[in-house]
Amino acid sequence: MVNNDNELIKSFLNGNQEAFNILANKYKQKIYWHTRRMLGNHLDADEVTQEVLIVMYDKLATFKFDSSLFTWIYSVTTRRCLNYIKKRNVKRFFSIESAEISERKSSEDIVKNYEDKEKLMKLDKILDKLPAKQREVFILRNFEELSYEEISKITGKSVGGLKSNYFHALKKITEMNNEE
Amino acid sequence: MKNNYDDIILKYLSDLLDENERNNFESELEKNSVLKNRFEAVSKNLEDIKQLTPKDSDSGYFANLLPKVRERMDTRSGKMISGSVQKALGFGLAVVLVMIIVLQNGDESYDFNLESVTSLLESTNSAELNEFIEIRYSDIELYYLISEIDLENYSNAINEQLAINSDEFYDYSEYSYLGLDGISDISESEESEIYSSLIDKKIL
Repeated sequence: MVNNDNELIKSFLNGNQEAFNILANKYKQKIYWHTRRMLGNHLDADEVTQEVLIVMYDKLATFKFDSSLFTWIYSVTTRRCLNYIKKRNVKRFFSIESAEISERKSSEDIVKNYEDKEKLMKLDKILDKLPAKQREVFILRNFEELSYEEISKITGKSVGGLKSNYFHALKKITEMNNEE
Repeated sequence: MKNNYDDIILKYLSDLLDENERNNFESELEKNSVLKNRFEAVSKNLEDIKQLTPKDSDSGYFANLLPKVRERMDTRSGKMISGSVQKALGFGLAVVLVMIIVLQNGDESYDFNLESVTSLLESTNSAELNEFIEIRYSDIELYYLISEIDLENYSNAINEQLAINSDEFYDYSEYSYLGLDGISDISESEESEIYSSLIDKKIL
């Protein structure tokens, strides 16, 4: 059985559906938790995670094998998250999102125990204070422990710009902590 | 409470110091206990945030995720839209934009059609429109779309930027995962379809 990403992609592109399942199962939790941190609730994260997996299925043929699949998937995921945040801002601005959906977003979660829920709520509260691009670099650096160079490949932004965004994210977080 | 050392500590942690500054910071860190204590407090705060990751989650969700995605991919074939409707949706986006302008001017009786939309966009003062968009919609995709449009050639811009540029439209559409490409002319019935769609979605 092949387990190397590139071999699996080639196998999938030759028609082996099981190869796609292996890739999706390998990355689905990473995709979910990244979107969960970016978007701050389960329902939105679920929606974007599904979209990313569909994009993976549809667009793997365009994968050029000159970067890792991990980088490619994170590029798709972060772009989707940023676009989703913009669309969500539009919906909120025009009050299109119903109270019922807002209520579901705050109540539905895959985390069941009280301690973990508390952790996530605390994290969401912190990340919610960061503009999307600062949140993006903070999450990729702090939780995924990626280097600026890796983040640059994912986001397409300069290392200098990323450092600046990260600095401002840390500054806001430290100020929040100082105020507590 | 803000600490005087915070900025330099955060610059160090962000890798914003050059080699000389970095060396100076590290040597100061060894001999300055106030700086050291603050550095450890800031670092601990960041480490604590990193630990805010759930240890346990619903494994059933992840087990069912792929079947859900497969189901969604299977059902989408019934939703595939034609190239001409893609243009209709692009036009619909232009309608939304015009609606924003019209509502801003308080004209609720405005008649939306291709000619009137184009005419209004052409006659709108570009500086005013930019200012309006920057103030009211600085963080939404519409701004990025509009900022790329040559305001003096709006009729062409509607086609080229809003309708034909399927990559940008791709991210807007409720059908975003359908793989949009290929555009053809819009018919009256398709215009009606997009109006209905926008009304159904409570956008209009």
